[in-house]
Amino acid sequence: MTIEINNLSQIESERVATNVAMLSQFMQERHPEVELTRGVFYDLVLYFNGLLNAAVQQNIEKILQSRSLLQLTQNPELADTELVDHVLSNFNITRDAGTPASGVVTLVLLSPVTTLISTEDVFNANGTDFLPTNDFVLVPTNEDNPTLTLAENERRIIAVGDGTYIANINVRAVTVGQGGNLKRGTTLSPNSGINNLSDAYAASDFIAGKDPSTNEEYLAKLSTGLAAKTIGGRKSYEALIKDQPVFENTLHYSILGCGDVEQQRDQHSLFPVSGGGKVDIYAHTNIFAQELDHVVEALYVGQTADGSLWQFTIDENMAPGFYEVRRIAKPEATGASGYKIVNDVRGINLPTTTYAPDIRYVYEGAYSRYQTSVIQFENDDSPTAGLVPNQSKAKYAVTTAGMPLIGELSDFLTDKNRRPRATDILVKAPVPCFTKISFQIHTEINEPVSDIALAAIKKEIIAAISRVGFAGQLHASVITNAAHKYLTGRQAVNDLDMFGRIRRPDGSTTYVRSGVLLVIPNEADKLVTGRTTAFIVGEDDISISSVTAGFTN
Amino acid sequence: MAAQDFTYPNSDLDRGKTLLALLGTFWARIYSGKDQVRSYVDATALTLAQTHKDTLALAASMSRYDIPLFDTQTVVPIVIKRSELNSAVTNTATFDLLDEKFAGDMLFNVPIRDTFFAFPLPENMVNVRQIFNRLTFPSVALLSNVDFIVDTQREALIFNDNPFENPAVLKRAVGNDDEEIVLWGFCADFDYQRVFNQFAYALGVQLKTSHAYKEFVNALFDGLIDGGLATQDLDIAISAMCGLPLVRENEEVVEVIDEDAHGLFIATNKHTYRFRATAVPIVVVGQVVYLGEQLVYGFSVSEFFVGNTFIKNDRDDVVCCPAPNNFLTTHLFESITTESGELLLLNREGLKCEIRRADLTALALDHGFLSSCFYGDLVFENKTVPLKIDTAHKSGYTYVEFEVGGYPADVKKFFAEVHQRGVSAAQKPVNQCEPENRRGTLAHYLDKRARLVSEPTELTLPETINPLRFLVENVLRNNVFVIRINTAALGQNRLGLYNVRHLRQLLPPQTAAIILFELEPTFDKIQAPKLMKEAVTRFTGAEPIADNCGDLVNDLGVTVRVLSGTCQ
Repeated sequence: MTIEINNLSQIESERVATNVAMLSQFMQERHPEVELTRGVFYDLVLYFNGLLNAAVQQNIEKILQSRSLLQLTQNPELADTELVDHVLSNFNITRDAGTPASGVVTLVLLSPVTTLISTEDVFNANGTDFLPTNDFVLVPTNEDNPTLTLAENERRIIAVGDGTYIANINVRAVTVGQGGNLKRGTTLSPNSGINNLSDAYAASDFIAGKDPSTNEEYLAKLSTGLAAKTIGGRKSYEALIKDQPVFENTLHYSILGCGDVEQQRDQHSLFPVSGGGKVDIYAHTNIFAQELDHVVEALYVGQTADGSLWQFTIDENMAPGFYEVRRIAKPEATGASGYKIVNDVRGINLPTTTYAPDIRYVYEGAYSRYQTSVIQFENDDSPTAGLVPNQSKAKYAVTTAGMPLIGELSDFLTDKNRRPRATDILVKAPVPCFTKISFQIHTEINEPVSDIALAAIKKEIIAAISRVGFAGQLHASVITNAAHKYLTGRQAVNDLDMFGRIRRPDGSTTYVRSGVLLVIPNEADKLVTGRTTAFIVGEDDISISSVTAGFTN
Repeated sequence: MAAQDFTYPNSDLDRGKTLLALLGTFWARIYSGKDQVRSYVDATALTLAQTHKDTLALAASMSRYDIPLFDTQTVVPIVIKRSELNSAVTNTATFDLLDEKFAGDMLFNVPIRDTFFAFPLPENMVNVRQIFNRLTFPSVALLSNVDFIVDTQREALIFNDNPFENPAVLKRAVGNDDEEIVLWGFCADFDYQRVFNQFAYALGVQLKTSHAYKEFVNALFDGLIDGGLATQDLDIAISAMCGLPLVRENEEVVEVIDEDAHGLFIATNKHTYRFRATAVPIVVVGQVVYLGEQLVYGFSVSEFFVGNTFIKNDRDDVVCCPAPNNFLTTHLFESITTESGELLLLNREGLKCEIRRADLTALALDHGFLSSCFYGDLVFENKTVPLKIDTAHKSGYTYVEFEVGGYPADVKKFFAEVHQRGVSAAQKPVNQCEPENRRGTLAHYLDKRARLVSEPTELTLPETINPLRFLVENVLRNNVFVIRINTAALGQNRLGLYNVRHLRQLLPPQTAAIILFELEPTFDKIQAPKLMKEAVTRFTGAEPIADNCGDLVNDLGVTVRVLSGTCQ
């Protein structure tokens, strides 16, 4: 282990000097006649004695340091895996090996026939191999059996309308790490021929891929590692959640209850005063809003000046806690920008037979798994002949954006095996502050910023912002510090701009902008504060340009 | 942590002869320079003893309960330079470090040239018991708090007499116009922030090292492991924040309650507890006290659950409760008010109970407790106020309100909101089982009739109401408790009340703590006008009850007291 001193020259000279000085002083005071500056007694006896004592003392210091993750992190010479594991064990934490990316892939099929997908069929995207999580059977459906009951490994084949058919399967990356996280729409290529398969692309953003934790990341995990994994104090809620494998990669939790200004559900009684007993959990499960593709059946509502008005409902199970609909298009129009959304009316659908939290107003339950929405959009490029209002239906591809795992987390915490009686828990995605960041990198002409460096900078910035949590403010220095790790001394960040769009729980929108400090407004009455709102930013939200400027020689 | 051991010699490291004998007869008896060997053995034992002590401290550091606050060096060289005497670093007058007033005798940010002699404190040193000029047979022996003090705030070692003027201290020239001396500190404490570096970093709590800090961190650790702050963990955390030590052992007996230059101290047969001079003891000499109890009137925690605003009044667990069937309503409280107006209640055995709420003057509810459309706090006072009744309200329902402090617009909005919610509730479908007993508005609930057959009037409503009691028994009783802190008792070693933020993560979110600070009164001084004439005369006055001469003498010296079994 690195705490062993193998060479006496490693001992701090000051420590040796102190020991030798004490010995010398003691001898000098009793025996002034003894030569103690140099010579046999000093060199072979006093110095040697002081040296060995110093070695023991330094070992003691090293052992002390090796028991502290903070000091191991500050002293790279000590930070070997074994010592870190020792400390982690004291906090009930075991080393994590990272997790592979996983997600849903849409397979485009040539014909509606039963198709087998094996766990040995390899799909590749961005250099990462993915395998199906199961042997899947793609089963054709038609108008005669729209409610066909499927086995666990069976998937429904849906007609797109352009002569092709689609079905979704789940895949998992072969290797561990963030490298396997794909953006929605990324094309996956099968390594071997799969009968009937035309194309494959990611149906959602893949988010589960995670590299093994660094020592700095373990530092942030110590308190939750130690905390009892139970429904108790705020920290214990977080510990309970992060102790579940499915939630271990999630980011931050803001748990608000009695006495917190954002907790308004406990004021539903006769008196407009907090009575307690309600718990709102804002779960920042991912740094960016995950995009999910759905195929929905929309209802023709009527004619508009520019086309036809259609409507569909997003129920509480389709995209639990979603923020907004990003795109609506015909399923076959994969490259289309989408139709204009005319109305987005949120609602709440509470279960009647199982646990239901106390939600009186829609905005209280916004971004929770009980949220529903009725979306109306305008189709401006399809003929309307033959359409009957409130009867005609058509399939559309819908892309929603939201925090992942909100439904799963809500179900987990309110499960009857877990939730204590009379404990009113409501899990919500944080109020989103969709953040766009742009800046220039000023560089001299001989030191252009490579695309590889730009990609790395974006990843570093996202990692840095993901550590901000529910702080209510994003400093420009967080971004510049992250960027400067990849810049040379003759490259610098300039003209930084941060722009945030906050979609309030009541559906209204507000904006914040700054080049120095982005601050979440304090609008507790609208449930928008630093403790409810999170900065949502993905790689596509960061714009970096390289400019040759500012360096004179 | 192992108790201190004052035995000498304590081990063979203290017995030079034994060590010398271990070297053999030749070195111990025959060798002509055996005195030198003996000295060498003694010196080696000195350094080994230090290493041994470090090893024991290392073992203790594995436990968050036993980790030593400081690294103790038995002997440590202290080097001071003449040029650093009363230098700006060590002896500068700044507002934040001085209790004295800047009344012309000192200037801000200018070194104080007074009768003391200040030198920079060695790095990380926080205490040293004695200072010698030599390791053996010292001719200069200086005692802490008598001949010198360690000022950790200014990071200065301040002597009564200038050590450079002491002929018994050897000086050594440094450069052309400076000189230095080497003194030897005995039992010096060094603060390497062990508590933070070994444990508290995991919680992100970094404070100045102290026993209270360690107690606070341990309370937080316990809270984490327990899944939330238990009652005792919370008490320990609050006591650490306030600098109000609690009883440490399972059972102790109070032996001395007295004041000295440091303030009030209470000594038991096990420990000595220090408080500010303004703290008021709540124990008496001879009283048996138990683990976790307070010794002075410092802080108290009032839980309002089940409407129980009363506490047990003795150690026999006699629990006082509100009268039966009087839990949920406030309109019957008049029946428990005595003729003298005192809020009084008897328990089942007829014993008088202490009414905790009677000491609670008022509670101010802020944005955390009110819906967000209020401009400021609403203050609910603990006093009887008239109930204002409007039977001709435009809503068609009897409207009631009472005196609440705060912005008038907020108060008006509060009662309008209460009434509106009540009207909405009253207009919901009738319970067919009790169609004539539908209650919705505040007036309905305050109505004293058993069955509500018509809208309340002055005749059916109480004349008065206690706003605080109303609030406690109808809202706060469910999930709120109050921590009252007497600021007059806050100890000098308090961690600071801002650390209460660390407790938030450990409190169950469905509950809340309201913290009340009882402030010290301030005293105004009157400066007489210049033209005012003063005359001295004599008159015969009453004999004073007490004659206190406080703050005239500031003696920081050691006072020896005899206590059973414990050295102070």
